Amino acid sequence: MQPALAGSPAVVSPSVVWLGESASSNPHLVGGKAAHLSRLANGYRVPPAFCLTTKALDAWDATAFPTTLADEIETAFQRLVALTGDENPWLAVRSSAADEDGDGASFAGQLETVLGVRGLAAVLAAIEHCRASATAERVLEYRRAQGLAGAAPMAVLVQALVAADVALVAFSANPVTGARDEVVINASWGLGESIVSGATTPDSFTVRTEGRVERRLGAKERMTIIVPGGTREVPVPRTLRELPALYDVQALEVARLARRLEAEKGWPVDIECAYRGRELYLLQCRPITSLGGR
Amino acid sequence: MPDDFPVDFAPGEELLWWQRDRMHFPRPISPMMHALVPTEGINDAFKHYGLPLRSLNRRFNTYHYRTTAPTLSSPEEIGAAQQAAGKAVEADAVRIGALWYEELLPQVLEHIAWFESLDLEQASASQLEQYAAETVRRHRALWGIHFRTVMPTQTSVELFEDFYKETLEPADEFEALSLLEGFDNLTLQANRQLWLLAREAPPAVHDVIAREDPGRILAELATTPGGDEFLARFRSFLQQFGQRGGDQFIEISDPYLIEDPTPLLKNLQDYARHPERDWDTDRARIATQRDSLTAAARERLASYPAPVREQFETLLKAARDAIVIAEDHGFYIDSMSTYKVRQVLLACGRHLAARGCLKRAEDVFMLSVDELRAALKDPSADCNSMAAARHAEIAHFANVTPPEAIGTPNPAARPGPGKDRFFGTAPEPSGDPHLLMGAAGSPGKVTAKARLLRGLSHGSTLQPGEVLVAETTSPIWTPLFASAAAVVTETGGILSHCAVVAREYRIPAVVGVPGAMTSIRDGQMLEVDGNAGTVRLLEQ
Repeated sequence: MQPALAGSPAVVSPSVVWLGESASSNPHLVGGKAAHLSRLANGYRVPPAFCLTTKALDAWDATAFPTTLADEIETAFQRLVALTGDENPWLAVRSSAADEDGDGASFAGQLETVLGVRGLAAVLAAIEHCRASATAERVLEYRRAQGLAGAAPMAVLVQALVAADVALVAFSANPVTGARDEVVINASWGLGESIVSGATTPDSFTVRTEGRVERRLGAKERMTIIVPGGTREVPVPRTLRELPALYDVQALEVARLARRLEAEKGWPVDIECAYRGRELYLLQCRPITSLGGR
Repeated sequence: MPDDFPVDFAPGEELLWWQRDRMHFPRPISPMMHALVPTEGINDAFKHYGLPLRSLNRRFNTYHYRTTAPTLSSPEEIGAAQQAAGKAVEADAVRIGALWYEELLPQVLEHIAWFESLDLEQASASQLEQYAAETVRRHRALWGIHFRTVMPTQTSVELFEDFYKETLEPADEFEALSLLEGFDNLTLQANRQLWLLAREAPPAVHDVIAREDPGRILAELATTPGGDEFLARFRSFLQQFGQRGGDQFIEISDPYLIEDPTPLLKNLQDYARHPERDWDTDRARIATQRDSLTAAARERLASYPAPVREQFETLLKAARDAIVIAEDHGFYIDSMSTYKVRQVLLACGRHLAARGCLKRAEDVFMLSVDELRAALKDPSADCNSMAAARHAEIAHFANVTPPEAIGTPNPAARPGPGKDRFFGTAPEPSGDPHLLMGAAGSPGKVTAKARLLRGLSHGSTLQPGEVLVAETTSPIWTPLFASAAAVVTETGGILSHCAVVAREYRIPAVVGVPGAMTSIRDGQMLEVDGNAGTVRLLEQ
């Protein structure tokens, strides 16, 4: 087993690669989801992650965890923990299929993601769970319907899960009017699940190119928090419902990030972010699928 | 209007809804007490917060009645003003510790210091008249501080409770309050000092305290070995903690504990007879439970957003401060400052009695403030027949049951929700004559004999392990909680003094039980359920 030297550069191995490394930009090795995130990790603050490659999972025979793989996972886990700066951080373990496209939309809901993972034992269990999901009957059925043969070549991403104080989605153009000089932000307390699911009515911020911030407070009645094994939706106490989820200066920071990504990609972006303390994390970046008003 | 309670309303008065405050004024009030009822203080606080309300009070047939009227007319204006006022009270509520300790308490202590600087014995009539005028001014200022304190303190506790319930979904309504228990306040400190006096008494003194009739303890101790030293310590205790009222919260004409310490001697006796009870151990246990519940709450909130966790800490601190300040402000303002006012008035009374204007110094409480000042200025004034008539009026109406409220009913004219948790709201009757309904005050269930106490002077009839049943219990009743198995009162809600202190003593309490004193028979077996807020009358 390789010694785990905290702070040393990751050992290059076909079994475990890290987001942001060149090997991780190869979707055949790490799956579409991880490759996409790895490209973002180069240049933006994406929560750190390591990836169990398709090669490693291919080599994994039916039942038990191969010992060498378990050792490599443990080393990577310890490095990941050190990178988060937390003693006992929350992690997410996500399936990343090799023939998914970049945003994973075509497989949304088919392959497993486990949130609320804490500790090595839980990581190993979650990896097993994701691996099993690739061969689940319904997934094979779906793949056959898409004209794809057999089980997906799969990788597994183990990523730091930001215990967000505030989660937000931002559009670098107004998705309704199409106005290109506006960044529109929806923000609410806790993890982004509540915004995406519609369970909460977030605050809405519009940042114009000249730096003006318009704010409309939402009810922010519910929020998602991390619990062991997943997440839970809980009510937001009244005093926090009445407080804006973002300071204006944070809305400006998010707008700068969205515009920077738009400039890099060449198209308007739909991004998901999370604030924890003062740090702004980029969780996802996609093109805006339909831009109204044009 | 009942025949035995005739009321001559002034024009317009009959349109308002006048209600009693049986928690603070259960009995007829003296004319002087009426003149000093702190209505102006309430209104100063309303104005301070921009609440569109005005409090008025009257003395109908010697009983105190109060009403609150809006100062704006349109519901929209009232709603907007109340919302803004609510925010202003909340802003003070979350920083109640700083507000009280840094801003308001220093002012209170300055007033107390002024009273203590007076040389009442040597004062001339004109000096007494000036003192009386200044006393009234400072009394009003102190009660403005009182209400500017209690309004946010109640809100502090509510904000924390609401937050706790919204985020942690507790099993019962006591769980949140448990995180606030076990901190010292002046009421509990006084009780502890008394306990310590009993505990540290040498054997001969201890015997006297445990054995003698409370009324004879002091005399007996004067001739007991070690008695002199004990008496000195007791006097020092009285100086520090005895400037607190009689039975009721603030009836200025009743003797204070420092003037008649009999209730304290009864408490001392209870402590002496039960040396197995250890105050400090009991308090430490409560603090440990509180700390472990607090740690559990923090653990559950560990993965919540930082602003949520910060709010928890801010509101927890504010609520803890508020529980202490709710007792402490009463110690200084309700009790101590009113005692000081009483001393000034008695000095005036002694002067008038010496002049023959009054029969006794205590008759001064039969006058209003204006009448007193006029009498001090007029050497020929004779107030004897007026005082006698008013004594007679009080004696007469003490035997009349006053209506709860008179005038034109107005269910909308109620104080806000904060007050409900302090004063309580009328519960739905159970329909079962053996089941009395009230509010849950302190958890636990107990079956024991009832002891009805109509006044603190009757405190000596309470045997350990009995249920203390009373109309209301002010802070100086609380040493009895050490002996009582449970407490039941007619007044109050879950945040009343009675309930808060009962929880600190870990005895069940049911508060706000209408008619408890008439429905329960002295000596009757009761099942008191402090979680459900019920009292079941059991067959003898």
